Amino acid sequence: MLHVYRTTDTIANERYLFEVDTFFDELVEAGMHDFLHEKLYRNIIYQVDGARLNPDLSVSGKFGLTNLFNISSGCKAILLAVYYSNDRNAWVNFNSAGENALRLMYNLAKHIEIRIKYDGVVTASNECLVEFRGVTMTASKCLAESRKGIL
Amino acid sequence: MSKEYTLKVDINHVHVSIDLHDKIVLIMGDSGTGKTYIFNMLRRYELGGNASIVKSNIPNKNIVTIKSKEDAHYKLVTCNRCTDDIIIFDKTEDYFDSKLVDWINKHPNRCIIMARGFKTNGIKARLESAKELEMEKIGEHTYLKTVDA
Repeated sequence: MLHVYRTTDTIANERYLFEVDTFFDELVEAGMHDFLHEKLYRNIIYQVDGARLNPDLSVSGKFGLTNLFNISSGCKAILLAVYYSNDRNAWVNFNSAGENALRLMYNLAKHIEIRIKYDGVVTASNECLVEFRGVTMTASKCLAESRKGIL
Repeated sequence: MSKEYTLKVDINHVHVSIDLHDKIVLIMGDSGTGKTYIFNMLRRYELGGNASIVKSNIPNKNIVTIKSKEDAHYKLVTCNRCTDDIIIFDKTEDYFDSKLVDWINKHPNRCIIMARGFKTNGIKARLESAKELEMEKIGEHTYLKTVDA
């Protein structure tokens, strides 16, 4: 399920991962990156950035051989959202994610809990349930309400 | 129409060319297309990196990079004193507000905005100023250039 939080909302006891790049980079620098070698995370890096994570944590992609700090913000946002999917208090800022990253995230949200801070219009398919301010609805209803300015 | 200027950035095997036809250029597009990569290259240059990696046919232009409210607060105060900087904005969704949009619209500095959409409402730019990055790989070299969105 996709849980959406708007700028004007308040969430008790939340941990809001606002600066996605900084938070992700610090996670990697702190050595907390083993999870990235799992298939799900490697697939995310490939699908969003067209890049491959190597065993030594270098990244081979469009810009040649680089490192995890240079993957896109949208990719980092999805990696964090999936990594923290079991933490009910962690919300990831998705406002810098491109359309391709959002589409992948909607797809993942059909199967796992994703919590995002997002001020745009949610355009997930109806197979994705969306929770908005405590109310669960289909994605199409969420889209209709967003367009009316209700959500 | 203003004179056409170009900003070129070369680092390792990545070569970037940004056409600055207008005062404000909005670079849009999917994640992973190079927006933040270019921004980071220019930020390293701004912080004292190799001067030869950035070239432009715009005389006496300083590069100023902004990716947070703090950056905007401290650096734009400096930019207010001169009119010949190229200012590059990234992560605009996190800190853009009406005050900053108003500053961009009124100030004569050229601005490159890595945009994802909704928070750049109010920016006074021509439709033709909206660009995407087109990538071409030739051997081990990657070429990025701005094309119409």
